[in-house]
Amino acid sequence: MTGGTSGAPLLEVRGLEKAFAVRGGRLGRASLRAVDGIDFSIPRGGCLGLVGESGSGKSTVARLVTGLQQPTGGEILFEGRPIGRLEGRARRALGRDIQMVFQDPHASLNPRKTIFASIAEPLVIHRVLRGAALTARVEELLEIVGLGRRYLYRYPHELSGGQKQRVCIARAVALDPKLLVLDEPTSALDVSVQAQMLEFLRGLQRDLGLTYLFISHNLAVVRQLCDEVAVMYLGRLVETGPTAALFDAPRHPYSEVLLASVPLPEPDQPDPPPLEGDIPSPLALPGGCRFHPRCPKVIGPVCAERDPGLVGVGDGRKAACLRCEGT
Amino acid sequence: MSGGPIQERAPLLAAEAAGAAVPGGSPAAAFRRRFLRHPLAVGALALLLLIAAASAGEPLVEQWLGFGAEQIDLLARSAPPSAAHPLGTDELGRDLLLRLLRGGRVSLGVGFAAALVAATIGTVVGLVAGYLGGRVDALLMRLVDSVIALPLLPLLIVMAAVDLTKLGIPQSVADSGSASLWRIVLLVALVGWTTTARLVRGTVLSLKAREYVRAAEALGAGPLRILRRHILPNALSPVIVATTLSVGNVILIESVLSFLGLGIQPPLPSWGNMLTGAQETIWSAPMLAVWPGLAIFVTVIAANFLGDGLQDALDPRTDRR
Repeated sequence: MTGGTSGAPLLEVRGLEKAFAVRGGRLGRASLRAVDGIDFSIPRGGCLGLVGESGSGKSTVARLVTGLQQPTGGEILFEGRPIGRLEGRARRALGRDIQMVFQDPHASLNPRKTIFASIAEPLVIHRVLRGAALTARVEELLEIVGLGRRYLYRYPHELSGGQKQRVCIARAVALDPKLLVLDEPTSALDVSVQAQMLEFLRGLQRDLGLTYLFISHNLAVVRQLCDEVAVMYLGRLVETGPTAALFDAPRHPYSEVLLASVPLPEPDQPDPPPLEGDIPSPLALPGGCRFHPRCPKVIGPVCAERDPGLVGVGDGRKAACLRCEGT
Repeated sequence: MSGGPIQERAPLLAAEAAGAAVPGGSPAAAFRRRFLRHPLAVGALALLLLIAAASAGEPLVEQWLGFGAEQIDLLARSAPPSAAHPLGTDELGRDLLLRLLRGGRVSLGVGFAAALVAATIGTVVGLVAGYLGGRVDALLMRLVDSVIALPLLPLLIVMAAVDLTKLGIPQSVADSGSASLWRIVLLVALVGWTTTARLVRGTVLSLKAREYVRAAEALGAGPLRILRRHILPNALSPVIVATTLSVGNVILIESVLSFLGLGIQPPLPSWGNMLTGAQETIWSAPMLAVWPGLAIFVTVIAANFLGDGLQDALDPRTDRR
């Protein structure tokens, strides 16, 4: 499933950091490290799943990659070119190649604009098409996402959640982007529509030759769609690897607990104990390994002292845990 | 998975489309349809148009009655309604209907012009403050606070008393009737924009955090486009309602200033100065106060109903009902 990895990766992220200045903390001003030095890369035509709990920094990564926010450190390479700190016109030109689908389809369409106006917007902004050609292209896009041209002059409130998300996707692929960042595209949808949406996304990727960065807290969804998975915890990656291998035998305790939290269709096996407590505040990061206060497999005091880095554990997999370093 | 993506999508269409049977149509047609659903708003619009048309057609009525609006007939002072004077005459024997219509020109003109100018200034200030935020926002909002903190009436009196000729405006222009008209429009707009500015700023603050604004940014839209296409249209309906509401206020402010001798100067009639002029004869000729009062009342109410209807018609989400 990891096929198509020839040549340079389409997107490569090196030591990416994003810190927000916030009020509070001991000195009245603190720095919130939402993303704290992460590396990953996606091959052309691949699909990387970025998973983690709420507050782990997943969505910040999405916004950094799409240029909605500027990173405070590290590099983002798109087709080998650094794009992290481009601003204004140069960044916007690049925006044609990287597009994003947002979490909530109900909120990400302007309620006062027709479906036509919403989908046509990127084509109008970048002055690609106008007039009859524009209408034709929008109709074609509607067909691509499985909606008909009769939706052209509807308003968002007349559509269901799944339909709206399809419109959002049509808008995102209007400029023929190479990379599509999907920020929890299914979490606002009904479960029955979720499965259809995933199937649709898979077909779309195949038809349009897209590369996906798929952000989700829903592991079942990631398992269905992604070739590779990166598990994120408190702004760091704790484990990366091919989806099948990682789901079969997670190496990091956090991945283990996260996977165990997915209900199994086997009633004989007792459910493992759930992860206790909430994710700590990124304003007060625990010393040593960031996961040690909640880790069910702490080795000893060393976990509170040493901060493990990502190390290779074979099969193209990496994990950031002292237990892996030891072996 | 077996089967191409097209085949997989096909069954979804039927299922998803089942719930969507709302009439579509072009945006303009949808707007008309939604507006026509409000009988009160349609009636109010018709009434306002009627008053405006009658006021604009005042010279025609003059011809028809064979009597000038400023013509004084001392033999028929405070005359009751008759064929020659449908609403009777005032204390100087001027025809009341003609004065009412001509006053409508002034009052409606001043009311709508001042409300519009104030709303425009307020919207621009609010958009800039809300969207840019930070220091610009703080500065503009402190300006709004200081304007609100100024006592309205003394300020208007001082500004209305400014001698225009001292500002380098020729005597002939300063003395003309339209000068006092524009002066009122400007004065009211200068103090009236603050409400709109606050309203718009608050709306923009909430709108700019919406996901569709983020989406537009991600698509590569610049700030001007986002403001014009995404934020302004969604911020407009409270502005429209506030503006129609303020039309009534402006007409009242004009009458107050006219009462103090600083607004529209007689013999140019406005509903405001007709009303105040009628105070002296309220017991002997009450209808002189009733007619302009009624005109103000009807106009203000109609403007409010119109605002309500427009608000609903401008919002496509109300199509569901």
